[in-house]
Amino acid sequence: MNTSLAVGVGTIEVDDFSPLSRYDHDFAHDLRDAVLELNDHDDVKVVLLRATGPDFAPPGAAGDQDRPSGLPAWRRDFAGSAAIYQTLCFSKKVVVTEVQGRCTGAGTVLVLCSDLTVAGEDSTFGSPFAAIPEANFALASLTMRLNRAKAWALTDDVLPAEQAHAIGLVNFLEPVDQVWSRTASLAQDVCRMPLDGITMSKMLLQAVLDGHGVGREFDMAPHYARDLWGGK
Amino acid sequence: MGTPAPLVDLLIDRESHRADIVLRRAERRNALTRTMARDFVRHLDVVDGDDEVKVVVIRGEGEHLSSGWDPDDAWQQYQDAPGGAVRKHPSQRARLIALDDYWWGPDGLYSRLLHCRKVTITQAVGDCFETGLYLTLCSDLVVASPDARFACPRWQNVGADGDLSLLIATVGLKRAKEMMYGGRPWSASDAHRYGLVDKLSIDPATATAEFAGMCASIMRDGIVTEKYAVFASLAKMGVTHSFAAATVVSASLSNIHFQPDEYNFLKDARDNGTDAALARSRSHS
Repeated sequence: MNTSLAVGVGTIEVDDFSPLSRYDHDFAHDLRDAVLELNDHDDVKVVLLRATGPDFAPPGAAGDQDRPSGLPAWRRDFAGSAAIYQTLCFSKKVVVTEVQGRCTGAGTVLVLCSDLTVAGEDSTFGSPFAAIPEANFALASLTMRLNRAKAWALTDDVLPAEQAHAIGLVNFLEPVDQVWSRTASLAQDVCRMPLDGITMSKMLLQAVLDGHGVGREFDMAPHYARDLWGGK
Repeated sequence: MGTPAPLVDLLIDRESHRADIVLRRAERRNALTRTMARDFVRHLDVVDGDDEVKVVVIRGEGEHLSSGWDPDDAWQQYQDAPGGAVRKHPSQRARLIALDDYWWGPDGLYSRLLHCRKVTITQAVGDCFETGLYLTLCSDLVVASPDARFACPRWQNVGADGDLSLLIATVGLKRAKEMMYGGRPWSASDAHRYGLVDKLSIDPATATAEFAGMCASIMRDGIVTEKYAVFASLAKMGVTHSFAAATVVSASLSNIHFQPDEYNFLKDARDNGTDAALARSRSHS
């Protein structure tokens, strides 16, 4: 995991984010810490999550090895209020995900938790709800509307980039060779906003998300986990 | 010497069951002052009390629906509010009171338009910025010409305030964030695709008349019943809470601290006038 900082943008680069889908606790912990560090950095306005490999979060083989090592540790590193997803969702900075290739499982949860997403035309988005109990359905329904979120969750469909863009999961869709430049230009636009303005508007947004049950949905994750993993 | 023409006009045609609220300040791209907001609300009171009116069309004279708050009046509104002139800079309470009274509170323009008992149709042309954006969001139906652009440029200067519940409900969460942080106006076709605009037309006046005619054919009880059902949904969606939060955050954002390398719009506006600051902020972006 590599973190860098340039003109208001803190970038976290990894090969891909699939270790989160495999419940790699060290990876989740490191990613959370990297986000927290950028959240608290006064020179940072944008937190950018980027995969340097061909896929943002490729699918892995499902199996017992992909389950977390017990609910308390899972809650600490994945589902709880101080874990990676809520740290991103309630960040005081603008979180941007840059997606190329396949985006499945936890990768799609990262996209849902981020503020803005730039995606390459080759990208695809798998529904996280069948395998990731901490995936937040309230965020999905606010993002793509209730009927589409239900269909995505229930059919386990993989959305092509164009469809993900059309329904609002992706903000900007670009040819693969232009994704980086589009992300850079977007980050530059965001950085024109004063830091105080970004922080206060993120807090205003949090109040609205709370009102729409996003926090309560995160709190429901242990119940979904017990259903999925049989109380392990 | 005759009475000056009103800057917000009310035209009522009872035969067609239609009222028009028209912004007549084309030379300032229909920038709204507090007085205009108050007049707008008064007109809404009149049409709400007129049983012959079923539809209210909101439009602007000239090429733009509205460029937003009048920048001169935006600062003055804080100074004129109770506690606003006690010190050099208006107090926080003055900012809160002004924002609540004129814009976000129960008697403010946005809340009043959102809770109008008649069908409201906004005809969006040219710049639909800030107030223009919220007139669009708070009305029931929106007809836009292809040249319409939707944004809140002030957000780039100070941060995003305003109601977010309504914006999120209308265009979706990530689209709302795109409007908040992206800083680029949406074209009419983007706004149509995202759900902010109901109909695109190269002849928005005719398309609006068709919508108005269709809505005017609905029986009065049907319209008001549906509107009250919408009000109940808005309450459940937390829009009232969101408007209150908008007041608080908007007041705070009028008084923020800028980092040394950040463009200080508020200082520029105070030192050099709002027009110069606006021009600079746009070239800055």
